[in-house]
Amino acid sequence: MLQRIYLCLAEQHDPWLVALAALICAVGTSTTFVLLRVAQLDQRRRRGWAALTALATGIGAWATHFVAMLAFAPGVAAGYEVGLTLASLALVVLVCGIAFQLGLQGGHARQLLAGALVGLGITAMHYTGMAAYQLAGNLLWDRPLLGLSVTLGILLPMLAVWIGLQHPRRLARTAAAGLLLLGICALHFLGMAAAIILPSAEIAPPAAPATPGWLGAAIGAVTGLLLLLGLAASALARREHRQERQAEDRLRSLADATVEGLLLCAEDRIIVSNRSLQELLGREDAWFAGQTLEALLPPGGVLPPGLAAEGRAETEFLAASGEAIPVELVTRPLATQARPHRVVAVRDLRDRRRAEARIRFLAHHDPLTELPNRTGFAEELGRALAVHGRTGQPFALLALDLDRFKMVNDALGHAVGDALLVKVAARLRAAVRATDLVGRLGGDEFALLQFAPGQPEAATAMAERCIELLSRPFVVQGQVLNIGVSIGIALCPADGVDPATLSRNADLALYRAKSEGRGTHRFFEAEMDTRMQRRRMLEVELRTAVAMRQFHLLYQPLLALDSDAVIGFEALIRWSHPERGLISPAEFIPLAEETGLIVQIGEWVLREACREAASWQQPAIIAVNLSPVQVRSPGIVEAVRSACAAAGLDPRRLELEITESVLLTDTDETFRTLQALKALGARISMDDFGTGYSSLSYLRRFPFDKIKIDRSFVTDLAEDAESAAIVGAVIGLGKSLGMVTTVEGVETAGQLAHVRARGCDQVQGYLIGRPMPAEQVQRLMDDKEAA
Amino acid sequence: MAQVSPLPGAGPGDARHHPAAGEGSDPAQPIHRLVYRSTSAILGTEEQVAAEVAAIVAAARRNNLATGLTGVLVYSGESFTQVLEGPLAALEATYDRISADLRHRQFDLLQFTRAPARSFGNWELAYLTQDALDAFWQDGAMPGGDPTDAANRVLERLTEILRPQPAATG
Repeated sequence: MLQRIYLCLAEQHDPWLVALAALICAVGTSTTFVLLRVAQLDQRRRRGWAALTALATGIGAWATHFVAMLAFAPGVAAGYEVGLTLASLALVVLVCGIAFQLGLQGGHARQLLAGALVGLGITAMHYTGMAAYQLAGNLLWDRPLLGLSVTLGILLPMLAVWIGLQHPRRLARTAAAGLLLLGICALHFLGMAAAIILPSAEIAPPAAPATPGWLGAAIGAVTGLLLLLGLAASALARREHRQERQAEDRLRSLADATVEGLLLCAEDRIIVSNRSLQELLGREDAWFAGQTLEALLPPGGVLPPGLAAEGRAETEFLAASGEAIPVELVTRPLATQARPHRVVAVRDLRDRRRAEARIRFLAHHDPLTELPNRTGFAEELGRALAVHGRTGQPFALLALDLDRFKMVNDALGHAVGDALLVKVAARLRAAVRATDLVGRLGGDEFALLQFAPGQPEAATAMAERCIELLSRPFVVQGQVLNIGVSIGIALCPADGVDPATLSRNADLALYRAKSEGRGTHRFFEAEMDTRMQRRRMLEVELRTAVAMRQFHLLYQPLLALDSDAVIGFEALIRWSHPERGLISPAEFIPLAEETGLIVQIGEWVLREACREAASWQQPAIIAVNLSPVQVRSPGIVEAVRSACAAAGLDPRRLELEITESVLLTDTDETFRTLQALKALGARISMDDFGTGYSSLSYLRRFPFDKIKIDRSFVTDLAEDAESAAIVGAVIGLGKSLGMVTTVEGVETAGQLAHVRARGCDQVQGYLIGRPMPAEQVQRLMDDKEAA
Repeated sequence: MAQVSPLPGAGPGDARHHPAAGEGSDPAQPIHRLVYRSTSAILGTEEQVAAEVAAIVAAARRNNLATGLTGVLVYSGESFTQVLEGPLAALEATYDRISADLRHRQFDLLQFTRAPARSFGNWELAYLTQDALDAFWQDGAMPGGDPTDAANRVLERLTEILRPQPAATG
């Protein structure tokens, strides 16, 4: 068979023409695949491109066939039948057209079928062409060779078209063109070798044969056409290539400039990565190519489901350094590619995770000391109670409050205060065991949870440790600071099994520790609770009293010693409780101050006193007490002004009495308030002088109108020479400073005579008159009018 | 006469001369000094206590060398008296650690103040034990009364004891 083929090629064919045929075939097949690629890319004009591809393929194969036939010298006269010759061309173009339309729809089956069709079309063209071949002799066929020719003529194009459609790259395209070329040549030359021509005189030469000359012209024309098509196709290919290149470059620089990591995948394999991803994972681009996404996961990792084609998922990627980096993957399909491609965006979640962890930490911790904050501590307390519920494990809750911290903070500033708190936290950490928990509830409040059996001894020991450590001097920025701590302890389950009760009881015990000298600890006792409940009840009743106007005022007369006339009254509040009767101000004023209710109550007193005084016939003085809380409240000046205005009282008749304790805190602000009150026209008295610090600097810093000497000095005036000396000295001091002096609590004639002798200006006391209701004052004033 | 005893236990305890290098030795940097006294709360047998004190001294020397502190520690078997001096930040950090240590009881900070110069510049931590103490506490030098007076008496005695002796120098 090989010998036959050799003889056919070597002896029956003109080698130059064979070479020409092969050249035409090569131009034709490469044109085919360039055009096919264009058809693949240009979706909109796909039909047109497919038709053009079919034309190029058909012409290429047809021209190859006939040039090869020209090279064939069978040794007998031969000619071609024109109709059938042209029909063979039409046949191949038509079949190829159908084939490419089919193949361009994608899918392996369609592509293989299209290839087979192309092979079939070319084979049909060849043997139709052979049928048009007329010669003076009989044409017989060597069947095995004929079979081989047909088989290869179909199989090779089938393979070529499939490759050409599957792999758009240049190399694959060249390979596909080569295969098609091989297919056509195999079909033709094996077919020619299979043809056995027996010359016969009986068969007349063709009547009107198409001469080789005619055929030459036709072939020249179509080949020219083919060449044009080929040139156009190669120009198209070049342009396409350039555009692809440019697009690829643009895409790559865009991808590299992207902060996020990007992967381009074809099906499961990675094709390319961008620089961000290479930097993130510490790997070269080359490492990525051909890997699966799974290869990026830490050992044993599984790709999250729902990421297949389009989706979003979080996972971890393993960097070259061995670090597992949390990443978010966002997948999008890439529509422009023939095969299913997808882009995977890789977002580094480390910063976000860190921020999230920090946020979680901050939500539960105090940023200054890094101890659990109120929220975090409450959570731990809840957990401890849950453990207690399951296992019965007892624990102690210790509430801590620093002593003298506010003084340090006020005197040395927040920076020092903060640094001190950090050091306090460190010492508390040193005082507890690893299983215990320290929290900072806010300000200078701390709390401890102690998980230890043997209560209350264990809690006692820990409280003592804390007290000892915190009573040691602290050094902050070179300054030695002495603070301390008071501790209240509640035990679970003895003092409560729910967070609210336990916390409240620890606080009650702390309250007791603080009120009993600080720097100490107290356990909760039930008695604290009842006392606290009494207090709370009083608070509720006090609020009711404010709402129900259960207060009234009494007025105590004030005697001027120069004229021996009553020149004014001090308004004194009384609370008549519907059930308990009269309640002493000593009992409810401290509570009113603590709860802030004093502001409301004080304002009522001001208005009531002013209203009452305005109704008197005489322009007598009306003295009203102001509590420290009231003086510090922001609306006090306006309250005084409006009380006078509403009553129509001349503010100059109003005396406002304050105690020294008003001046102990916020002195600058307090003095500004007092100045403003004075500017309204009211006079300011220093009440209870001699009981507190009695700092003379207060008298210098603010021009009080009056000093009221406390009643305690008057009581033992007769027996106690020191009291007498003090009263005398204060009266003298008042005179020299131009302040009026009043002595309170004068009850005997002897006391009166004494203070009168000392030059006191005014007196107050039971000797002069007890506090009296408003009607009595009215009568007194009317009497004076009458007198 | 009083003598400086070697570190209890073994180890390179005699490398007590403080090298003049290191940031802490910058002569321009202001020096602060602290003096404290405390009762030891270290429990255990004599050997265990000795081993723990030795560990404390060794750790203190390492820390002092690294942070530029110098000073003296006196341990009587019942009480500690320590003088530390150096740059404020390092001194404060070390004080924070010492003052949070529950191995001290009845902790008494006698002094924390600016000092004109180091008194123990040659000692990253001189360590004096019972042997030296007889001399240390004799003639009623036991600190008491006003903390500043006590601190000054401690300093006076210690500088005297640790003064380089002519034979030892050179």
